[in-house]
Amino acid sequence: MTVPPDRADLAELPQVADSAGGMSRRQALLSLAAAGTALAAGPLVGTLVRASDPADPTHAGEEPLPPRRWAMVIDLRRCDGCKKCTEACQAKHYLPPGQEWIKVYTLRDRTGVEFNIPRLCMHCEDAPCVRVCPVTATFVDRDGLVLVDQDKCIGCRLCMAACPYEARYFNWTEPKTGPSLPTKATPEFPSPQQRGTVGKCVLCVHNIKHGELPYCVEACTMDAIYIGDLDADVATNGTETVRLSTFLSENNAIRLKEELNTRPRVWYIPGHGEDLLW
Amino acid sequence: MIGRNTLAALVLVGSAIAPASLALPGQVAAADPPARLQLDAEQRDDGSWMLRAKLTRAGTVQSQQTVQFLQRVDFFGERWVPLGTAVTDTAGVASRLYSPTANGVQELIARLAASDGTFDSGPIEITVSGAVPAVPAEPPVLPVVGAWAFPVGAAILFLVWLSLAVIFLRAVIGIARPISGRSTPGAPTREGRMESSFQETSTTE
Amino acid sequence: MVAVAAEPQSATALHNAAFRPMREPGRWFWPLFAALAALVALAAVAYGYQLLAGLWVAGYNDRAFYGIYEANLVAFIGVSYGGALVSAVLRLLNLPWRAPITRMAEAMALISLLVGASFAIIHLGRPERIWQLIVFPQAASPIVWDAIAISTYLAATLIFLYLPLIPDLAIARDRLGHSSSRPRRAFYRIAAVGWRGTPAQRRSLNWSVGAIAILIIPLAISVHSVLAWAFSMTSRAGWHSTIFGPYFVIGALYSGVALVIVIVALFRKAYRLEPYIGLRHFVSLARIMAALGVVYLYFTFAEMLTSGYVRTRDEASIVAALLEGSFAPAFWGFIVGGILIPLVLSLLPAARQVRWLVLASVLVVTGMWLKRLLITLPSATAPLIGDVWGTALLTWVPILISVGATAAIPLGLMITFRFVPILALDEMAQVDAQDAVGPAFEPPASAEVVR
Repeated sequence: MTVPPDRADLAELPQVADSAGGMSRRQALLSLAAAGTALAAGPLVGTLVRASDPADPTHAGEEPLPPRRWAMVIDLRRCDGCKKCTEACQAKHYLPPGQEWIKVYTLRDRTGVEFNIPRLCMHCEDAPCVRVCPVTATFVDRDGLVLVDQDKCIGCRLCMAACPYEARYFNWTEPKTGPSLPTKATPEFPSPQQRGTVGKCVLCVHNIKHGELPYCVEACTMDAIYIGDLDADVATNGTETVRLSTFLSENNAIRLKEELNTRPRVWYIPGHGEDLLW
Repeated sequence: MIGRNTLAALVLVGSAIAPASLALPGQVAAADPPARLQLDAEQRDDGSWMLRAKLTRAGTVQSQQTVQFLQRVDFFGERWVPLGTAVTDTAGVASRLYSPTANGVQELIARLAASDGTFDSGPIEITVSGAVPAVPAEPPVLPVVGAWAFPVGAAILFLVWLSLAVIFLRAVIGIARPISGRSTPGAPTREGRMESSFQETSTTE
Repeated sequence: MVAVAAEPQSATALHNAAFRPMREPGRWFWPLFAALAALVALAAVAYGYQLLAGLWVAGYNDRAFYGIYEANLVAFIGVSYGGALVSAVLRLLNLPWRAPITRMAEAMALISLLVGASFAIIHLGRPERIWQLIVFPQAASPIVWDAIAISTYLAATLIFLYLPLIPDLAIARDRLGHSSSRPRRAFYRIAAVGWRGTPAQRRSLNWSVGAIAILIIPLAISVHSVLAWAFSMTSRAGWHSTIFGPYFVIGALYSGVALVIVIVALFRKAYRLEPYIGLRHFVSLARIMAALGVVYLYFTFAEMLTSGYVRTRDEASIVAALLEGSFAPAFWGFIVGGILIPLVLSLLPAARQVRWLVLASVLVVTGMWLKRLLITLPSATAPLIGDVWGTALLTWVPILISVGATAAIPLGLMITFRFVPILALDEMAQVDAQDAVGPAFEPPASAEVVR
């Protein structure tokens, strides 16, 4: 299989760092705890207790936490366009370089102010992409998130046409796989992806259902990305915690293309006085 | 000459006396007794709650202090959600109206961030029901059309395929059947004309 | 008005003409067949390469996710409408001049429908999973509606091709007695289902043909409407337009009638059918084509006017790109070459010759293909966030496949008319029987054998 001529960098995908530099301190502590627990309890408990495997991002075999009504808030006053969120997402999901599930646009608004805006899948509560899929490959999961079952996807790309946010990507060529994972690809962790199917941000559902932050929230050095629960009315960027409703109303948070009535879950807090129109 | 011990004793005594003389009621200085917060929640008729936090130090109420109200949540670990602040009045009570936006059991504390440390009240639990979420989920659009669209469409489709089958079978069966006397007595003229033209032309060639 | 163009011919000559493609097609047949088959084979090779390497070889990328294949899907299914118009609508309007060309038109409709539907498979990323459309479809998806509409219309087209063919197959059964092979005779005998031309049989047949001619019209409208709505049931500027259903249907009729003219002209010349298909047929078809072209121009104007006048940001950028920007040469080339010039050629008395009308039709078919590309590409490459347009690449894979698909239509027709009479003999006889002038030729007696 030839590598497309404009994708010479496909030959070398970034590898997931398996040293502490790639994991957060929390994950490193968890892995230490897990190792210790396994060592201590292993002979006694045997296979009854299965320690969570930090090398397995799919958290296979673990019971998920109860469902939440997820939301994200991105504070554009803080975003500096460093794209660490994109790098982390691409590395950990083994994405090819052109496929940016969270993509940072640098735009200039009507008054000439330049601003950065990370765009991820909005996981709309009334998602147009879910409506048009002919084989129910794009579906809404228990937590209300929009996922893609790449075993079902026939590659018709009507969802890409329907998405108003350009949030979906297609695997036009055979995706390079990363280091072999302990479990096969699932809609929650669609890696390695399949050629001829659609991929997009999964809101790190594989993490958030097990109490771990999405990769972009963790990676953001400016603490600009928040994840929240609309029902519990709370949001956090990993460091600070806020009451979601007051955070949104006090900072005049808006959603993109509100008039399309897709009811996206991602709010943006505009700053620098820009009007978020470009 | 002041010896080292004397100096220490002087400092000790001074630090004990000085705050007492300099301290006005409510001002905190080093080596004050620890603050004690007592949180209380009263449900009102409209479903909101009045949170009251009483701040005392060694029995003396503290006024003009900013008290923060927090809710404990289990969201990617244990976290504290700030619900707002209030300043203690002359009775040492900070009051804040809290309109919950989530239902269920909530654990609340009051917190004082003072120069000598952070003091939390004991947690209280309130049970919230009937709270309206700040960003409510919206009902689907066009529910009636949505409910009827599929049955009506399926019915139309079924009728179309039925018609196609009838059209095809009627022709093929009607033609393939052996020629029987299907003509009704007093047949319309059109049929008669066609029949005669058929016979007429077949004899001319 | 008689069904036959020139002086009355005997039944023998008519049958000779209708059966000529089956028995003595001419020296050009096999070389042309080989050439067309080679083009189709090349297309298959290109598709095989695409299956192995992935859709990127077709020039797609994430900001140009729809392109030539989707335009072809619309174009090839669109041209099949010429058959529906000529066979069904002209029959219901009882226009007798349709009789010599209905067979060619209907066969062309079937073949171009099949070719067009194959593009629905070619543009998929995982075509081997198409069976899922049957097992777990989502009823709300326009592609499911597409699949249902196309398969229903395909069934109707097959029925509409077959039923009027039964009497002609009976003629073939009776006349090509010992001169054809045993399997062939068996085929005609079985397919003719015992047609003898009796009044009872005639009644059954006429009822069904009339019914399917009526039923196929809303089915045809539904197919292209649903195909249009696959685009306009998204929020993309340029696609999200209420006129898309009628727009595509009129466009399909326009390009379909044009292709009927081209096909009829080609096969008429190849099989020497001039006595039965004359200039008047082309003039009548060209007038219909001109009328449809004017309606299409009107719809296009309405689209551009309403988008361009209100000028919301996304709509305005598409209109600007079409009228004054990067797509402008193609757009204005289409208006002039695809609508205005054919309009003039169709109506100008001085241009009332077969060759000019065929030229006009070729311009229409080509122009309408280009127009489908102009519908697909700008909205697919327009930016939704920011202002950077995508670019689609033109690679050899979609070119080869498109050329092969175009070659498949005459190839399929050549194959079809080796088995099926190219003229609708029975229909021509029926039309003449209704004629007040009287029959210009005699319907065949079953006993006669043509040498």
